[in-house]
Amino acid sequence: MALPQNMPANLEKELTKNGLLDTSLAKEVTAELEAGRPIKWNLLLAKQLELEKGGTDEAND
Amino acid sequence: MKLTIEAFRGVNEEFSIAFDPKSHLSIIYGENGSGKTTISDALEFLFNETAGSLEEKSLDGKSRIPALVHAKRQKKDLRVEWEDGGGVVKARIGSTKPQVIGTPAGKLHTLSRKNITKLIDETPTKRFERIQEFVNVPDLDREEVELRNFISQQKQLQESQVRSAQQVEADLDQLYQRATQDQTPPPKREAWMKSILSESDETTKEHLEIFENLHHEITRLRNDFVPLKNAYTDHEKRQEELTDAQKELTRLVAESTDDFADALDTLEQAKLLFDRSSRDACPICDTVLTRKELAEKVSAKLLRLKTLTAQSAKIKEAEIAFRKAVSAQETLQQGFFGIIRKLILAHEAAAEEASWQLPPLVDSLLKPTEAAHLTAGWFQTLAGEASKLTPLREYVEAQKTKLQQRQEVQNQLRVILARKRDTRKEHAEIGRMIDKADGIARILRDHRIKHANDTLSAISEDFAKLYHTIHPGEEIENIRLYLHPTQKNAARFDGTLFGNEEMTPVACLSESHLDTLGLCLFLALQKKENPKNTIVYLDDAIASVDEAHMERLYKLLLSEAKHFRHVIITSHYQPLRFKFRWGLISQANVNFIELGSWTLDRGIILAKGPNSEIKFLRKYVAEAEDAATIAAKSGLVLERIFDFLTGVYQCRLPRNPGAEQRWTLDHYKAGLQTEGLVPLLRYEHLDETGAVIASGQLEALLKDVFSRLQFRNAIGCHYKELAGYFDEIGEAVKLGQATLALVDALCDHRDDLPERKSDSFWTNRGKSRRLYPLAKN
Repeated sequence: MALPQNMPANLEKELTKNGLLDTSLAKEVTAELEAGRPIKWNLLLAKQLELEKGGTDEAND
Repeated sequence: MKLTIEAFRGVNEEFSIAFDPKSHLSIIYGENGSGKTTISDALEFLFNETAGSLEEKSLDGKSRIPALVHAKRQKKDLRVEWEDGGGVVKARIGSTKPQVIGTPAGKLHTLSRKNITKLIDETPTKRFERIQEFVNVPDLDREEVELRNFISQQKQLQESQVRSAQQVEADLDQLYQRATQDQTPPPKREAWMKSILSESDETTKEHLEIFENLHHEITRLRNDFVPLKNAYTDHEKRQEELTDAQKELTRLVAESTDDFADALDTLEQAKLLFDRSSRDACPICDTVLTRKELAEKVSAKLLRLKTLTAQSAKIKEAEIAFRKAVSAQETLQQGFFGIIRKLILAHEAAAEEASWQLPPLVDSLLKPTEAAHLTAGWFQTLAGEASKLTPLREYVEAQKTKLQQRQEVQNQLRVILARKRDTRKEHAEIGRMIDKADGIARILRDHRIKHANDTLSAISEDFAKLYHTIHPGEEIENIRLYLHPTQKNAARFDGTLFGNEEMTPVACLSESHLDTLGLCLFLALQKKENPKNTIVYLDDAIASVDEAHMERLYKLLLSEAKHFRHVIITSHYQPLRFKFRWGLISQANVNFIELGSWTLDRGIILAKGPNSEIKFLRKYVAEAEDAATIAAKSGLVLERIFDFLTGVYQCRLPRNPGAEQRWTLDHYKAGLQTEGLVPLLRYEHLDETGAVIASGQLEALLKDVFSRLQFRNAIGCHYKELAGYFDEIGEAVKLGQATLALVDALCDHRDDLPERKSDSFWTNRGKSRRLYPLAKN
């Protein structure tokens, strides 16, 4: 396991605070870290912005 | 576990050393140069593919790995093998690197004497390098670096966006300057943009289409004007040519009326003449007509007839040319009429927009209602009015150019504004991405630091405990290893020393203390990372520890060893060997290996024999071969037992102030025989349930031993001149047997003495032996 015990849960909690990342994406980050796979930050953050944009558009609609 | 080495450093022929997996701790004892470090290097070579101790030595630029080969052997001969469980891992030297076949079970971490204080006296950065494998979370670290790189790239992108935005502004300004250069005063840029964008693309496109149509039809009208004019001229010319030809034929025919009758007579005469060829006179009028004259007359008539025929042909040609001219004129008239109709429609469309000052068309263009009306006369009228169409043409051209320019500016402005909008949007998105990436990186960093500090704190707690086990009661507190608060990848090491906080141990502690500290820190670190998978090799790492602390250190290592896969200690420290052999330190769960003297040809050898002096004595007594050895070993064992008895009963022994306290067997004997102690001494043997299975007085056993001490002196070392005057081997065996009888009465199966104090007796660790009384009185 690539992350010490308890770290994935704590990380996930911190990453979702104040809307920094969507829960699904925070889970993706910890899953990739635990699997020891490199994270494609550009794609992940683009997804996050897209999710936020969707939310804003709907609100605007 | 077994290590086999050949042609490696000081090992020439094959050498094997086994480590008992049932024991957690192995001690390799050997004098300097006996090969302890070679064993460590061989393990390093196989486990970590390094040159071990050679890694930190200068070889004057030569490669280290090939330098591991024995001086008398070749690279291909080198062989290191490690057997653990059922598997064998083999290591050799390739061209310059180790070639390891198989994967050894577990890791090997070596601490050499040279490196023992490295963790303590290194700089914080180098110290971190040494401990990072224990405190780092590599994936977290990697992703934090990746995020920082990502942020840096995004910032570069953002800078590039700023340059793009500046370029967009420059392009906009350039367009504004170009578009308003003819306007005095020029409108303000915002007003100009508003005006340009006030008209939709569609409107501009529609207006442009209207003027392009008008322009197109005017151009066509101009283009077809001359051909139509030529058609009228050609028509007229062909008409004249036809009329002239017809007139000429009429004249020729009139002139030739008599000739036709005359020609008929001539031809009749010629017939008669040809029928009566001998006659020269005319058969009709009897005029004498020669054959020659008749032929000439016929020829003249034929020429005239040919002229008429040719004229008729000319008329036909003129008729064809005339018809063609008429047809061409009609075609052009049709086309021209079509152009006029379209021009009128385009003009009407343009005229609908009241704001345009559109000049009118001329009357001659408006009157014809069909193509036939476009006569030559009409054309003459149009030609006369042509100059009146110039304002319309100029107006249309000007409007068309103006609209085209407007459309171009409009398009460019829209593109620039779209770029500006996109750039601003992208800039904002990149900014948000950077903020998020930075937020995530901070979280990863905080977790990394927290994990490292938690780990270091746990390690610090553990090694402080270890250190205090060896140095109890010293004013050394809160020794800790922790991350530098501001510097990345740096670890500080300090503590409260003698009441002073955050003191650096290097500045305050002795070398021996620092060594212990380094050793404890090393053990605490190794315990943190999967210790059951770790073999710890302490190569001469306890050399500087003094005798007083050595025993505690040994106990500590013995107790810590159970956490690891195996701990191997090498030492040349004689007191350690002495205490181990004498059972002064626990032999349980310890694998004691003694190395013999090294030679170039033999290489490393194991010292043969049992691992305690008592076992040696039993072996020698059983063999009954060497009197001197039996006597010497008996003396050593008795020294230990007498030392124990005089110690627990606090017997008086002579003192020699200023010198090391070493007593002879006679000193001990005298000490024991005072104050009536010997008759009081008795022993008990107990089974596992605590029931007494044997007991007896020590007096008889001691007296037997005391009575034989003189032989020990005679045979073992002193008064050697008496040798040969008595049965040396017989007496030696009796001394040995008397000593072993005392041992058997007092010691358990591990040769442990009853050194532990109980309520009314002394007992051993396994509680199977008792010695009475507790005290003399």
